[in-house]
Amino acid sequence: MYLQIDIERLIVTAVHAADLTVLWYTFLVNSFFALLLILAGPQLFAHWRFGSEDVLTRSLTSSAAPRVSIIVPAYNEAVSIVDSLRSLLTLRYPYYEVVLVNDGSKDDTLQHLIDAYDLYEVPPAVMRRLRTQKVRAYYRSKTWTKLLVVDKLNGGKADSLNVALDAARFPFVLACDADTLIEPDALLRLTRPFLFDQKIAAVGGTIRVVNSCTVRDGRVTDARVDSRWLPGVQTVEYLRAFLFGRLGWNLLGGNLNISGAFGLFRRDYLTEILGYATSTVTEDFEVSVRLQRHLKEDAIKANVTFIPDPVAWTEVPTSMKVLGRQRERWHRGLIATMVTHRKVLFNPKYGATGLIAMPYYLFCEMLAPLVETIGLVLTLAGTAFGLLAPAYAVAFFVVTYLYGIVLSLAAVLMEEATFHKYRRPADSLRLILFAFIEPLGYRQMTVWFRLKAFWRYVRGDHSWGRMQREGFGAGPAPAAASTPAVPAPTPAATTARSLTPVSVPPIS
Amino acid sequence: MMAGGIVVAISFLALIALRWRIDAHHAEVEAGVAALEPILQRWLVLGGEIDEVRTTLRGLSPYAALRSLARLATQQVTFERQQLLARALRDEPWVKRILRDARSLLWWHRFDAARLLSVVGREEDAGLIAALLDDRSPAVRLVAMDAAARLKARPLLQQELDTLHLRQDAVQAYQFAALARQPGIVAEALVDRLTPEAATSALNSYIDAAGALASPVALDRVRELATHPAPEVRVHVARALRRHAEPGTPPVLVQLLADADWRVRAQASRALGALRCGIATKELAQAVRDRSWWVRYRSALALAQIGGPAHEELLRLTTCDDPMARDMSTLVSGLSSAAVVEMSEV
Amino acid sequence: MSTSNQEPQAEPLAQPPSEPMRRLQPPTDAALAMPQASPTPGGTLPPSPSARPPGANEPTPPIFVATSDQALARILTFALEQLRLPFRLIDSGTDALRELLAMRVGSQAPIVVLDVDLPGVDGHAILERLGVDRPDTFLILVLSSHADESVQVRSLLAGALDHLAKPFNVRVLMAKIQRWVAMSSRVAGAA
Repeated sequence: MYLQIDIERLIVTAVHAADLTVLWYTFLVNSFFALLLILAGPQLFAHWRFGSEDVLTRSLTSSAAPRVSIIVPAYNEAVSIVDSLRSLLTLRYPYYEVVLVNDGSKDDTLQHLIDAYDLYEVPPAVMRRLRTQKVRAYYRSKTWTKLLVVDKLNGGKADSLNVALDAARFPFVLACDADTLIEPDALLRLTRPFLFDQKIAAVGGTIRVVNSCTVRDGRVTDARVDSRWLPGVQTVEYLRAFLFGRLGWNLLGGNLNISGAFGLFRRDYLTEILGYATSTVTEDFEVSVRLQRHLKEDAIKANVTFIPDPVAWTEVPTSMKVLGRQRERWHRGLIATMVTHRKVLFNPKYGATGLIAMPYYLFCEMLAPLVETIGLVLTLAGTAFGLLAPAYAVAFFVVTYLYGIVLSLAAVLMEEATFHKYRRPADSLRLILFAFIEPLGYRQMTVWFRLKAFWRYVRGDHSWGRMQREGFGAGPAPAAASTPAVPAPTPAATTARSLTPVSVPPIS
Repeated sequence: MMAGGIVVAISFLALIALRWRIDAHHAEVEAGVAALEPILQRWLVLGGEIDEVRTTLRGLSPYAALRSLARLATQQVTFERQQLLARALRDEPWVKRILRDARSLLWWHRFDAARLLSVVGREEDAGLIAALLDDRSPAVRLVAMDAAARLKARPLLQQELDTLHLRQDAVQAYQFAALARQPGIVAEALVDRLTPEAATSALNSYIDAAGALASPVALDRVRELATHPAPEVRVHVARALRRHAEPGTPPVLVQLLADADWRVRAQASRALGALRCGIATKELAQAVRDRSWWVRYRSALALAQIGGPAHEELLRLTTCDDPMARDMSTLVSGLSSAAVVEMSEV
Repeated sequence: MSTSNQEPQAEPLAQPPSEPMRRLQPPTDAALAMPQASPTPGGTLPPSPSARPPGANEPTPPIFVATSDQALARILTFALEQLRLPFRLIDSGTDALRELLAMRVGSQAPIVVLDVDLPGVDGHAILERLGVDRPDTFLILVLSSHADESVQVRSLLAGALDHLAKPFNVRVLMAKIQRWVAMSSRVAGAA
């Protein structure tokens, strides 16, 4: 009798304690996001001011901008490569080159390029510094003097990036994906930290969702918010992750995540750390962490910073299956990177990286899905069995979801207040709507995908998951159907892709 | 939890307010640009009186006037014509209103003042510009460089040269473009500073400046530094000399082509190409067989740039016994002339 | 927005270019010859006096302006209207290249004003392409945002006749175009 009551009381106490812990954890995590938001505000204002047209024009005409090699890995991109390359070749930037690496594509990516850009083979007069898969041939273009195409045996994305790093001539490299559309003045804006007298190791820019925007000549001419649930919610998610998530980090010891789809790096530093790691599934996050480590270990005073106004557009998954694979892979990469670089965690030698950024990624990103699941199960079960007062359940939902909604709304408003890419009121309303419905289903889904990552990591799975590529104009691509404004004569004017290898561990 | 909620709620409200304000400002500036543009274009195309430009700007709020003028002037008005704008607009009430905030504690006020001075600054603003050149905010400093370039003020340019080497490369390059607006004064100041005794980092910056200005008097002094003991300095010398088309230059460059440091050799090759030095053909052909990739690359490009017998020499190298020289010469000899220019200059 | 310069309003707008402009144009026979009525694209603009060669029957080909810079397009429109020269504005590199490759060219070489920053195909790539497929067909003037020597030299080497860096003096551009129109029609008239 006594014993039974004790066990019952023990269970109740345990459930209470656990739930309280989860409650506090969630509250602190979200408050940290609120802190990032507050830190981001003044910077957003500053960049909005600095981004004025006259200041941009000055930096363009002075040719003070550093020379940049854009490095682009491509694998089975035949359907869209010609057009996405076209947008890369017509950026508003004084001096740059584009190094495209065909990673042993199984389709006729290379032939498309040879035909469209008048390529001819040149001898391998390239400095080799990194160990990579065998390069088959180098090509230059008769019409585009700034284009170099490298054809190599298949070796994965990181391997292709390493080949491109070797072939690049300029001191800075912009890593981007073959299916990402870079805005014409984005590179010019991305070099702003250089003009502001900083020594730069890497700069990251914003990635936005292109689904259902109108694209002409490889440029987004009309920005829209997708009306469908899945891409729509991701639009808000990306805004939040980039607009204030990363901006806040500039003041907290530097960014740990420069997106591989749109990030500028100093080439020497990348070659000093032997380029990208071929063993990881999120090579961009891993290389950012390794770069920060290298800077701290060799006491190099160079910044890794993020600026909000240079924009690259990317297609996000529109099917649950593909989204699931993508998020699972990102999270698996995050776990693997945290394990590889565990030495940095809580290590004062690494300064803010070791004491703030890495612990943040451990507690607030890596463990978040576990804690949230425990919290949800405890709260639901506890309330159902009468172990918890309903007030607990209310508190849990307020702290987890309502706080989250407020943060999303703040991101939406920040975008509206500054860059204001979406001109139509309908799109603004959609963004607000998606901010509200994100916690209803989407959030739980991503938690589930990320939980799966733990399971696959433990099993030692290192695959990327199948890549599903559907190009525009080839079959019923969903994004094509929703962009009626695409001009008819250029059928490949819009790119649609179902899986984009951009590692963006988003803020939950 | 309450505190967090309140903070979030307040920032939320602040953002809503901000959004309204920014939208209103945006509309105001667009309206200003729309009003000013046709007037300014008439003035640019037809010439004549500037009164209409002045009246239009007077009709706008200072905020909108500054932004529309800054945007249109940097995009469409040449430096020489901006002097006319400066003469006509400097004493306008709205200009004075903005310049009154040039020493404000808020960086964006100082930024705006610098932007305005970069279009309408005149000799009497030298003191103000000197302060802005030393501003805490790098953005303000950057725009102030453009403002300083408007004036023929020796102390200002001296001040800029004194701090030149403390800046990062990109800022230095930006500054060179501004300094090149007053080549006479700057070259004179550079000549005094280009001495072998100067500190290496400062010396490098002065050499770069002399190269960017392409000033013969300053580059004469640079050429004398070709035997400087520090390899860093010799690299900068070789690079700057590509703008010094004088009879004395090629022999110095040929000498630098035999330097122990590969960076010096690469820059010397590049300079010989840029100067179209036919006399260095033999040495450049030898440099295509260099151990360093950059030297091979630069010297092959130089041979292509020089053309004539040098180009024939390059073609001969495509069948030589050295595989690396063969690859490089085959690559370069296949490039179009425009591609050669682009690759050798960048 | 720019309605004020589109209305056929003020007197000075309808007048021929101001005095210094006219002096820049040498008083050649071609320039002094009276214009004959001829259809021009758009129909409203009378052909420039300087554009009429004494003997040629064909109309002056319109000046082909390729730029995606809206402000630049507006000022060039205004300037070319002042010169009373027919022109055609294109804002995409892809379209510009397609039209230039397909354009039927008579005895007068068409004048092309080409911005380097264009979407689709940039000005330099257009130049390279024209240099291969239609060399010496057009009189090309290149506009670019940066003034570096190398940018200018490579435009000229790739087949352009002239290069101006932004911001440039519009009046100089106008004088150049006038001069080219006169020259090209005289060559055509002589042929």
